[in-house]
Amino acid sequence: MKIHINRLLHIPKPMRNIFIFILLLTAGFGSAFGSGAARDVRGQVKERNGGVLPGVSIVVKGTQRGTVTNEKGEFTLDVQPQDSVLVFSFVGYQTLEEPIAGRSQFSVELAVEDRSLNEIVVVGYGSQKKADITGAVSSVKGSELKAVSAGDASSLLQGRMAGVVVQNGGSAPGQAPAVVIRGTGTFGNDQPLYVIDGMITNSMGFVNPNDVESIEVLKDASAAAIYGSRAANGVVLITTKSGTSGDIKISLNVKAGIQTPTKKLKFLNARQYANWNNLAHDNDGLPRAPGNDAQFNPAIDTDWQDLSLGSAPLTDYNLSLSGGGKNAKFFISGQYFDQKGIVVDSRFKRYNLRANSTFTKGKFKFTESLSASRSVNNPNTYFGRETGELPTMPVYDASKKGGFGGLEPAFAGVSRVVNWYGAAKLNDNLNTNDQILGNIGLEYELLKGLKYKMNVGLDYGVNHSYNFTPAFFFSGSIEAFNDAADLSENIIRNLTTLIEHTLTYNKSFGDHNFELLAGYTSQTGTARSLGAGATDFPSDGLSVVNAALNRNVNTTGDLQEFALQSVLGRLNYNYKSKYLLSATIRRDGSSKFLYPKNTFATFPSFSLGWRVSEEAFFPKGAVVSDLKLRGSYGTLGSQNISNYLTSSVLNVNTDYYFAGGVQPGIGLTNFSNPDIKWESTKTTDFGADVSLLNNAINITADYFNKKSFDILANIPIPIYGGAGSTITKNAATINNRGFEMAVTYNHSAGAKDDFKYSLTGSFTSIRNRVISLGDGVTPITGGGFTQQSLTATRTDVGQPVGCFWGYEVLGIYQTTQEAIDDGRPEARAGDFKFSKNQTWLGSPFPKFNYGLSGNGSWKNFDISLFFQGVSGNKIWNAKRFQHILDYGSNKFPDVLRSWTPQNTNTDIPRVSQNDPANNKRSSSFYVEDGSYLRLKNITIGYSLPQSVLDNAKIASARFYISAQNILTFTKYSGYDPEIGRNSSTAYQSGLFSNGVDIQAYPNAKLVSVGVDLTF
Amino acid sequence: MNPVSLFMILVLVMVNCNKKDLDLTNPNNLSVQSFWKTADDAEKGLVACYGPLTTIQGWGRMLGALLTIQRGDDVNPFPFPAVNDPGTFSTVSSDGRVNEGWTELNAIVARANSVLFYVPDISMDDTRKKQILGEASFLRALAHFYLLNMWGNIPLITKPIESLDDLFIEQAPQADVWASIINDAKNAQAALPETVDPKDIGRATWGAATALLGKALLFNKDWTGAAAEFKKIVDKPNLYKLVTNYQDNFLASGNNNSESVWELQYQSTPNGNWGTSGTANPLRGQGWESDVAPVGYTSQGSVSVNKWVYDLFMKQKTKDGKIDPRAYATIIWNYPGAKVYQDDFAKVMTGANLNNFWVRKYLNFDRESASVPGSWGYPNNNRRMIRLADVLLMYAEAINEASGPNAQAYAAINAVRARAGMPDIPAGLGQAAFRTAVRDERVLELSLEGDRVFDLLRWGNMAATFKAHPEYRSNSGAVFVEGKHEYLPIPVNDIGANPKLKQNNGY
Repeated sequence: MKIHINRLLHIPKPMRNIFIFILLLTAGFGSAFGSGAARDVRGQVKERNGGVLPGVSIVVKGTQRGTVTNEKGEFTLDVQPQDSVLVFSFVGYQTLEEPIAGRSQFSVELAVEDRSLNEIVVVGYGSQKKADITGAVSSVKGSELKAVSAGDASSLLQGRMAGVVVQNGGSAPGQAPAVVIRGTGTFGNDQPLYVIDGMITNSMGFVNPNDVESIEVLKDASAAAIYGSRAANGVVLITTKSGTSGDIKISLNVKAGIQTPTKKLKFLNARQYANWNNLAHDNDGLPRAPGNDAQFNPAIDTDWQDLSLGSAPLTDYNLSLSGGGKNAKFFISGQYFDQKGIVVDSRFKRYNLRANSTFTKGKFKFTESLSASRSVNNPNTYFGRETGELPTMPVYDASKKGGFGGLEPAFAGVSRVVNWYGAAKLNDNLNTNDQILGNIGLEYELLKGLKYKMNVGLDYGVNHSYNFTPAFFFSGSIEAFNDAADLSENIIRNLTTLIEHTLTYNKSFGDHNFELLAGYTSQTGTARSLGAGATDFPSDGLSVVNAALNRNVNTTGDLQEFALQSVLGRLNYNYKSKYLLSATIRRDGSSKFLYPKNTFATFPSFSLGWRVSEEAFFPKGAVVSDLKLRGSYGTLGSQNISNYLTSSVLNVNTDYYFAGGVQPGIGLTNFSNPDIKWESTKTTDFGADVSLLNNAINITADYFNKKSFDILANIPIPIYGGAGSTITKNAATINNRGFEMAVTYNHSAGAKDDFKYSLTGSFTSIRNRVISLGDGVTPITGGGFTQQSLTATRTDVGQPVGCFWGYEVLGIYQTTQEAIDDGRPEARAGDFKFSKNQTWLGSPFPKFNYGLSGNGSWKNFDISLFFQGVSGNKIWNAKRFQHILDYGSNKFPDVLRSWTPQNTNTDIPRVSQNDPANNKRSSSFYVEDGSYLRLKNITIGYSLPQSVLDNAKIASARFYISAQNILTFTKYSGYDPEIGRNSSTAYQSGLFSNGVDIQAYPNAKLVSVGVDLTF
Repeated sequence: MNPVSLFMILVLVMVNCNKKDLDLTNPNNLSVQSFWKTADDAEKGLVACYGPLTTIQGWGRMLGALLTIQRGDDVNPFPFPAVNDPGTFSTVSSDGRVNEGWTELNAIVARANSVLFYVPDISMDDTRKKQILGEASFLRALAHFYLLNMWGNIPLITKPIESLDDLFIEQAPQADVWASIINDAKNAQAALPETVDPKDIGRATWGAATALLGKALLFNKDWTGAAAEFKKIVDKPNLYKLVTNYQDNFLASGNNNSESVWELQYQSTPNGNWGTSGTANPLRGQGWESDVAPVGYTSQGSVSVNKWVYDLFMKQKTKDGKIDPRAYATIIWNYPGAKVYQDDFAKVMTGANLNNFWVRKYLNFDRESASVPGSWGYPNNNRRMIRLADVLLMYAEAINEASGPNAQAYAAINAVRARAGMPDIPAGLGQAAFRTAVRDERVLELSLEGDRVFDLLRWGNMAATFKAHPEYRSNSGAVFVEGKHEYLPIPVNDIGANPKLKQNNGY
């Protein structure tokens, strides 16, 4: 057993002093108080001259203890004898402070006025009043997210929060989007850390949006520092719903809709295609292919797009039960989500079950949050593959194994022709993910104001992928046949456990308010995988490994383990809630680095706030009703790297086949770098929270400057060393700086006006630049978009990560002499004239991202609108490669205006398959404007009036109709401008393929109807 | 209780609860420190030296065809960007295929360096230890031989890399690399047995080492030395003899026949993975078939055969007045009954394709095309790296260059011709005429086997040949640049990573 407390606490001296200071403060203040008996107070909150108010925050003044009102506006709260005042706050209403004065029953009325500043916002390891927050935190209520339907919950964040950029990758069902908070600051994994009810994990994809109470995003160093080692990409905190005291509430939500593609593309028909192919052969001086010439079959004209793209249903059922008594509260919910893809043979299903509960007994508080989910994904990985479907190919051919048609390449006049539609139909591809995620919290008040909390969490998952391809034969083309049925299965079982011990201490001395936090956390994870392959099945109906005749194919297995231990401390201090200070320190030890040399790192941060509007000199009743200025600075870390990167290992896959069979070999195939250490990010943030017109308008604006350094990059080493071409080293520096703003306007004119509405806008502008790549690092090439190794992006100093790179198309040579004069003897009339050298062709990052949402209600009607857009980004449209310049696929009608001696005024080069002038190379020909503005969602609802409800014994009933993605403004010529990072399995994906459209699914318009009932 | 003590105790308790170690080792692989201890380690370390030979990046495809066969003047590659570039003289230093061949050959060197460094200290059976060191010496000599003759100027590393600084060195003079090759080959020759167990066929033998040593001396114009080495093989008629049917050398059914001195053992791996040695379950078949198969029977750019090869075959008939049977085993053209795979050549080929010449050698006509069935890893038609006919012709050449043709030289070339039913070459030729006879015979016997580019290199007539005959690259219009295209570019990764390296001329 090794205990790392000494090393963990071996913090650089100034920081250690701060840390010890925090510990002593925590301990010291504890002595000042004795304990007393708690009691319950209860009550109801109403709108002045109006109905009951659910969701009102109630906090004991000077503490973090609080609750919210239930559907009937009722609440129950434990108070301590020394508690004196309850603070009632709710968005859109004036905050009210009520002295407790020995009462146990409260009846409170809140006046309508926008005052969001007293809301409780969840922060790491606790919560804070919004007014007291000095870091950059964005918050969104679960109720605002529900309108949009998505298989992956993280896509619901799109456009909702300033600084949080969500890129959906088409509408492949269940597709996880990329979530980037304040810009990419690494060459590795740039996705944020997710904390679900206190359990640390790496995805929120499986979360049922109906369960979400609120989502907070910690953006700057000050807010995120408490998660030190993993916070460099930002932290997303998800709080799920908990029960409220009172009657059991049953809520049923059902939604059903139809999806259709946002767009279809135009392709040539069979005769047009055959003519194009013939022209290519003529131009290349090659004999025409018989299938397009003498043996052209006019009876075949296949529209593959029509076969592959269509309408598809989506259904979403959600049922929840909640309620509780004085000491026990619960929330139980279940969801079934079923989305068929608009692309043929794709489907995503998710089952969710959640059970949250809270129990209190005396000084103990016990909370439990548990979710179990299963997602079943059946993707179509063949849609849109290059060099595939020609209109001259028949769909079906009963005489062929598998029953689908094909063409011989020589007959079709191309090198490869594959019936991808048939491949998708024949292939059975299923990815099942079971996940149990939950945690148990035990809280005990040791002394007055001093609380100990233990949090034990687990994240258990089993991922099973299954891929069966029966034997088939379309033609002799590569990939167009499969001699023997093959099956591959892989199971990964992972378990991550978290144990956290925290101590918090709250104390006020007059106008000085302190909150202290100290804690120790330990997280360990194990993932074990096992994969097997088998071929040659006696029948296609048998698709388990045991049925195969050959089972000795690609057996794989792997064990991954990691451990992370941390100590953390935080001090929040304010004077009269006017001058605010927060200091955080966290020291982490990670198993991913060489022990003990680089295991540990310390991440400090601090922030200051000034509520200017609380000053005496600040004019009351002016346009500006509230003003807070904030500033923060700190360091965050990242260890989002693979395990075991620091140790050289021998590779057992270096065997050789001798005449008598394979003999095992063991060799060194990669050099490792034992010196790898943490990536770090220093962030400076300046922000202002402004309320105008008596808080009708709330503005939060931030400027941030985020410098990420020691970024792991692959440094090239000579291949002649015999063990790889790169070694990983902390080398690069990336800067992200930007401006973000969120504006909310609330119009709720009180009782006499039935029309209420609110508008929220968010705006984010981030400038991403690589500052240095490190000594000896050559620019990183990425974004491979064809099987011919052409690439779209390059990452180099002075440019954003993964910027488009290639030749500029300067025009078309009108004569061969022109090309020769240009030093291009291989080119001739009709070929592209390119720039001499390759150059930057645009950035996949938008100049700015924005979202605008509006919610309104009039009598029993409600309406919500949500627009989202990006501006100033470019998309690399690889479809223009596939369908204009390359030879293996059907063509866009653009090729009808290809250069010919008769048609010289054009932007499309001459037709050639051999392409001696390499017109196909990476160039500006593929780059398009990717800006768009999209009406993401519009929902109109009607709630049944109270009189009807009373008769039906229903608490509430709302019917709605909703439309998603129905309106898009874009110049992009591909299927859809929302392509995100290429997620195709056949090509490079991830960070360096940002904005490269290879085979993205088209997006889906969704029109749905639904009902929300509560009993 | 004093709250300060309470707090401190609690913090200590919290921390001590945790037992999980932060010092985790990789449970998936052996660590370097624990290896090279036993006889079994020595065997496995040695097998790893063979591993790169037959991957797709090795002689499975890239070294097998794109970087060797396609660069000869016997073939005429079609333009196929990012694949056929070395053969169409359009390769650049970032060419992935060039990089892949370089990677696999250097992997052999690095792994052999480890065997030669660590195995001497392992306590094990001395006989087997000697053989292991011999095999590793042979493989290092072989890898250096191809590196030197393909890239011209290479760094010479003969010890395991202990620190990254060991990597950042300058290129070695060619003479130093040759000295290392010859030394390694001699060591191998002295250590290796004449034959191996049937299950071990494919391992280096005395014959393989002797032939490689002779070839290295031949390339260095040490004619007497080369002839002496080749003679050792020629003088062992019970060890190696020419097979009766010439074509058996290029069919899977003739794998490891009596003519074969050393061949790569392909394994049919239709479900293999694309990757270098170190990839789990790699493709280990004769993947390069697609890079030479006739148009329409391959997914790749491929090649046609230059007419001069056909013309040379037609120049002289067999003793009974027929076309040299080696022509049918080497190329396809429009002759009565000609087949291309399972189809009738005259029926399926149209237009210019019908009148062109195509590769036959090493194609597997039991398939429907170069990709059906089974695609890349399917065929297991071994690559004969050195066969007796080649040794005989090199022997004849070495003798002739040393001192003009003698009886042994005549016997050697005529033995090769006799097997094909061809009449003896005329007696009494002068040195120059005999040289021409041997060189022509090498075309008739050995074309499309990947050695042509090295023959042109050592004869010093590569540039002149391509300059005189632009039609040898008519399919691509490629132009050979003298002083450049004799060698491949040093991969850009290495040039970038090590500033001490000099790029080859012209790249």
